[in-house]
Amino acid sequence: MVEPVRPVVEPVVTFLDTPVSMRPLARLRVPVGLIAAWYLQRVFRDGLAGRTYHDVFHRPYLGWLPDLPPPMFTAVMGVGVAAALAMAAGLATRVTTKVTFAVVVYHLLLSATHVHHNRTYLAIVLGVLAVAPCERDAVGPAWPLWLLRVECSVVYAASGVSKLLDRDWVGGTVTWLRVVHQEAKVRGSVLPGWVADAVLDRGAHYVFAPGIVATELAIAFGPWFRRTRSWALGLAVVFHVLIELTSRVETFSYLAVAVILSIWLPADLRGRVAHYLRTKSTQVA
Amino acid sequence: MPGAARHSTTGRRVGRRVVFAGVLVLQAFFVVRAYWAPHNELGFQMFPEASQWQAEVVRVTADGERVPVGEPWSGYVWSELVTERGLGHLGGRRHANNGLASQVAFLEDAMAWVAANTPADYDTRYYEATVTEWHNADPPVTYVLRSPERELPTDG
Repeated sequence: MVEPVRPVVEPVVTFLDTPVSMRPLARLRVPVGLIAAWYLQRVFRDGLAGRTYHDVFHRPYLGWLPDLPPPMFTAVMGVGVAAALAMAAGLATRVTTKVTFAVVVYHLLLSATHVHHNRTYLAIVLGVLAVAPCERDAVGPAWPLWLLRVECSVVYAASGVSKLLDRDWVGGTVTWLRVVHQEAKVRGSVLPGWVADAVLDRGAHYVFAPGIVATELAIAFGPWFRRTRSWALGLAVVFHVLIELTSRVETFSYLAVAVILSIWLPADLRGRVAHYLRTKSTQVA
Repeated sequence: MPGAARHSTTGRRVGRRVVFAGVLVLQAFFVVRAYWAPHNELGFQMFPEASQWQAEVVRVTADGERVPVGEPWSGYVWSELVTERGLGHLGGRRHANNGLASQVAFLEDAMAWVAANTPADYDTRYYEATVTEWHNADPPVTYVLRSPERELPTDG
């Protein structure tokens, strides 16, 4: 290693090699497997009904990627569904996680029209799970866990910073117009009239929009500090519940909450939740 | 063979570090690239705009006729050929989900794909879209997009 950077780089790379419990990632396989299965089963069912990407507009990313005939493509998606379910069930996770990752990435690379933020995030999470030791009680080098923590932060930081740099966004124009374009829905929703008036008011968005940006940045950086971690995780859950209630984002909310809680939930808090659940089940029994 | 084992462990460790650093560099590249790439893949710019767009797409035939793609032709139906990204049913003013640049790039690609994948059409020379876009609260901008020109089969 180059001498001047050794004192900085050496502790970091040693840290990445430190053996840690892989339990957080083992736990994460359950929701991520189910989410991947949910995504692929729709493609699989369309294939069974004779609807594949072949006959409709699509834009491949890689010219050399094999265009499988529709029946074979459908079979591959079926294998992906089975692998994702097996991964969630903890069956042969070493193989099934890799297969799920490969099938999801293959489907995304087949067309730009398949790509959405939630799906690329799913592919990233699957990629990390595919390279991490799989056994529930396994101990392995810490790097996959740290990689996922960085990626998790990147999702919120990239989103927050892009909004921060956009005058229309941080000034409230974007959020206000999005609500205004949906005014009929907002007025017809369960919201009381005064709440609808408030969210449709231009002035409210001078506060609302920077609040969203601050929330995203807080979720990106908050978990990295012990004192702010629990607050950031709580904020993330509330944030994603609100997104789920107000927008159509496929499985993004579920994936994001599953990831951030699995990889950051403090051990003491996890212990308290487990204790609570054990107590409740004992009471029920 | 303790020497060989140590060699393999060192190799694995170096490999891990390379993968870790490589992923971070790639991710940083995609985040920066998202500021100019229309579809901002892996850039995670969520809910980027409140922009809207509208497009009127026509087929321009060999004799110069301009026929809206809403009407079936030569056994083809636009909404069956183009099903994704809100491009199936054109005409109305609608929200640009992933931003205008992405929406317009998809429309352009869709016209090119249809032009190249409708072999039973012996009549259409090219597709043309008159696009009006409203970027957030800015005044509307209208322009025309055109697909690549098709070579008309002569045996029709």
